[in-house]
Amino acid sequence: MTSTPHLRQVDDAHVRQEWDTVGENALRLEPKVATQLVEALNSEVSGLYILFNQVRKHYWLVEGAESEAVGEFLEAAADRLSEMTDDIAIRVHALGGVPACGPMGIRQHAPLYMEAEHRYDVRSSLERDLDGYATLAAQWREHVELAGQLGDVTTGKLLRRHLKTLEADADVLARYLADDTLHSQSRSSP
Amino acid sequence: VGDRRGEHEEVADFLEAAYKRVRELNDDLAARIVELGGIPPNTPATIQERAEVHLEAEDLYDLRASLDGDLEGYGTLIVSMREHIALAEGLADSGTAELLRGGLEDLEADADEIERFLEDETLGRSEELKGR
Repeated sequence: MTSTPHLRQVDDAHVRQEWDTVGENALRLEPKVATQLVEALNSEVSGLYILFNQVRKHYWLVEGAESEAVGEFLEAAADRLSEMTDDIAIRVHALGGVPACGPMGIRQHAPLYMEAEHRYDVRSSLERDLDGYATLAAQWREHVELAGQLGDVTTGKLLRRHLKTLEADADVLARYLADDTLHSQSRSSP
Repeated sequence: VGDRRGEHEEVADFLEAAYKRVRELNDDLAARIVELGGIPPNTPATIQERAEVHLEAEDLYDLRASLDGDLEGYGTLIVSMREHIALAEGLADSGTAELLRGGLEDLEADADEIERFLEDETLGRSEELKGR
C-alpha cells in the first residue's frame, strides 16, 4: 500500500463494503447492469465534486461591487451542485455501490480537471466554470441514454431532472460572460 | 425493522444538517481569509497540507466506526479552534475571534449530539444485524 498519512486509521473489521465494488441491490437490477450504472454515476459524483469546489472557490474569491450579483449566483449554484451530488450519491448506494467520496476516488472517475490552487481573474474563472458545466451536461446526456438502454428508468429521470438545472446555470454563466463590463473589469485588474 | 429504520433516518438527518453547518462555517472562515488578504486552501493538496483532521478512506464503514471518526474530527477541530481564538485575541483581531467563537459553539453542540448517538447501544446492535 502507498503511504497515506492523511488518512484516519480504521480497523478493517469495520469495513462493510470496499470502495469500487458493487454489491447486491434491492431494485431487481442485474448485477452487471448495476455495475455499469454505478460506474457512470460515480463519474457524475466525481465531476460534481470538482465543479462544486471550483464554483465555491470562485464565490469565495470574487470581489468588487459589480461582482456581488456574480458572487450570490455562484453561492446558490454551488448549493445546487451539492444537492445534486447528494441525490446521485444516494442512488449509487441504492444500486449497491459506494459513492466516490475522497480525492483518490474522485480522481479515478472525474471527467474534469481541477483548477490549480491560485486565484485567477473573474472572467477566466467563470469561463472554466462554464466549461465544467458543459462537460458535465454532455456526459449526463450520454448517461441518460445509457440508463434508458439498461432499463433503469429512475436513474434516467434523476439525471434528466438535474440536467435541466445544470443547463440553466450554464446559461446564466454564459450571459455573465457575454457582459462587456465583466470583460473590461477583469482586464483592468493585474 | 421499523425502529432500525427510524434510528437510521434520525442519524442521517442529523448528519445532513451537520455537514451543512460545517460547510457554512467553512464559507465564513474562507471569507475571512480573503478579507485578511489570503487565499483559502481549495485543492486536495493544499487542504491535506494544512488539515489536522484525518480523512476517511473511500471504503464504506459500519455506522459506529463512521460516527467515531466524525467525533474524532470534531474533537480535533474544537481543540484547534480554541487555540486560535486565543491567538486572534492575542493579536487583537476581535472579528476573527468572534467568528471562531460562534463556530466553536456549533461544533461543540454537534459533537455532543454524535456522542449521544454513540452512547446508544442499539446503534451497535443494529449494525451487527446489518453486517451479516
